[in-house]
Amino acid sequence: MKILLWTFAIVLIMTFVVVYQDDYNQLYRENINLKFYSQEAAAAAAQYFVVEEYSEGRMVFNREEAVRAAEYVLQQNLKLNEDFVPLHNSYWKEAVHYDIEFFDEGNTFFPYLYEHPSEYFILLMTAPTVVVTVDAGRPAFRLFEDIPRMLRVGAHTWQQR
Amino acid sequence: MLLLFFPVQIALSQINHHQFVTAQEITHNHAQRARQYGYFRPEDISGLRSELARRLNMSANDIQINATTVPKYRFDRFTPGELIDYEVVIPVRRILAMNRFLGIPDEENQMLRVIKGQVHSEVLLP
Repeated sequence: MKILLWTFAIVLIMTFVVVYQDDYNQLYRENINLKFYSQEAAAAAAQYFVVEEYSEGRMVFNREEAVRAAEYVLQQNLKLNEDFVPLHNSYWKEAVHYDIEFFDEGNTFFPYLYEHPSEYFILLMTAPTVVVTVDAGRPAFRLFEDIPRMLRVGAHTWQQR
Repeated sequence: MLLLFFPVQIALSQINHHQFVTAQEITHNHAQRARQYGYFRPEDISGLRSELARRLNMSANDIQINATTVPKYRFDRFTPGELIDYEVVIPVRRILAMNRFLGIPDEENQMLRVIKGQVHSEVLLP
């Protein structure tokens, strides 16, 4: 009888362990994806600049095209619709918010010491840079509810050679 | 006998997870390299296949790669059609440990995992 109770308890605990391991590993992989695609969104946004300003020797980002490109990258790769709500085949469950900041020769003097609003990192910018912050919401764990929101920041610098 | 399932399953999950993370990292690196040329050149695709086969310990024939092989260029305006697509499919040979003990045949215990994405090209139109 005692052995049966112990077996039952062990089976229950080990089931929790196996399920949590699977959830945690999947979150780890999706976090790597999130990091890669936020950097990719910043790189995409950094490609578009205003031609007239460039002809005068100043590098100014074309905000409109850059935002379109960054939004497209995030929507396609994180599987979101136009309102940034995840589709049924996406890992993320809540609406994704993103924030994009442009530091170019139209609004910044380089070098510029940038501190991210989350106070998570400081970046010394020496060239025009785009910073994309993506807040992907809470992950989908099966056994726990109160998991912190997943936040990733990507930055891309346009360096002239 | 039932209790033996759990440690083996924990180990197997961890192995599968590590395989997938490695595959993701290699694919992302190669996608970044492809951005420099505007497309996946044949030597890029074969390099990706051989590196995946070597580090994941599987034969090169098991891995399927679909990637853009036509050069894509960047323009002044955002053009969705000019993005580099890539898709890498990795087989997972065993999902559940002790599957025959639980009544699941070997064929149903396998699956294909897909790494898919799009990146922007950095090549200017010549």
